[in-house]
Amino acid sequence: MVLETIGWWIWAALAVACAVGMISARNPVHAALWLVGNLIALAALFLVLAAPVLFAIQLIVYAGAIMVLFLFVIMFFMSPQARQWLRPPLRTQVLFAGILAVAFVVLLYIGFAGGGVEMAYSDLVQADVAAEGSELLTPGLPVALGTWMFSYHVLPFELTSLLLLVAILGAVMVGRDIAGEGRSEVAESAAVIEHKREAG
Amino acid sequence: MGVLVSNSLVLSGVLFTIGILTVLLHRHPVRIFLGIELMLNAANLVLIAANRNHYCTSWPTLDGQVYAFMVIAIAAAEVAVGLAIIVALFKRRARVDVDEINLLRG
Repeated sequence: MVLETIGWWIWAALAVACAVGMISARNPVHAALWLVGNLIALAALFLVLAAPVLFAIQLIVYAGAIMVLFLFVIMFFMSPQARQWLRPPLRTQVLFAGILAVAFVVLLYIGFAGGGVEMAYSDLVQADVAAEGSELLTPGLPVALGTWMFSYHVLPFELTSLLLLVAILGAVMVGRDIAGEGRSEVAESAAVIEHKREAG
Repeated sequence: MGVLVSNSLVLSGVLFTIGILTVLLHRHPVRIFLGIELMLNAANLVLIAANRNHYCTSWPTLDGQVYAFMVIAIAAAEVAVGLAIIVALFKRRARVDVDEINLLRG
């Protein structure tokens, strides 16, 4: 219990530090690497919160695959000469962001101080006692999660595969390379309109 | 255990706020996307913490972890499409700034 709490605080501090690094880094590659650190810290937090399967998935899918995709895009398409990312945010942008951040923190404080946390906590005191002898005490194990998913959530799982297929098709369609496609289409339609106008 | 769960909710709120600030403060689409990823992960943390809270009740479920799993899968799809759009933008324009991108054509 104590060990869990200590681990939680260490990883939580790392997660927040990496998130702050991400927002304040000037170079987008550095920002992506900070986000990788943040994702790893979050994965460790998942482990502390008894979700070992999601810990593994987070590391493999998020910190592995998705962030590599990000780094590819940044490194292939952002030339170091074009230092657009150095442009400072607009003044109104900073103003609105500050106001919204303060509002969000106030909202959080109201939500948590207004009984949310206490309720969760008092529920848990009883729950921990009630669950002493339960066989679901290790619910994050792959067997438990798989059984649960394929017992109660088969349709969403299958729909996810369909969604991924559609996403692949969409990405290929958007990313395919046809020289001057957009511009020439606009020019063509303008020419057609012009032609019709002349004919009419 | 309850302290861990409630602390996780607060941590998730903090991370979500940082994600929102990233989206609001940066003008480059890739940076904005990184902020969105951070927000998705903060939401995942809530789901998993809530599940940790819930499974030691008298009616234990694993719904939270399943939802987090779905969120990760959907985030992967979203990243694929979003980055494809950003790559298409890079191909067609020299300067990429969300202030100037207001059409999804041409």
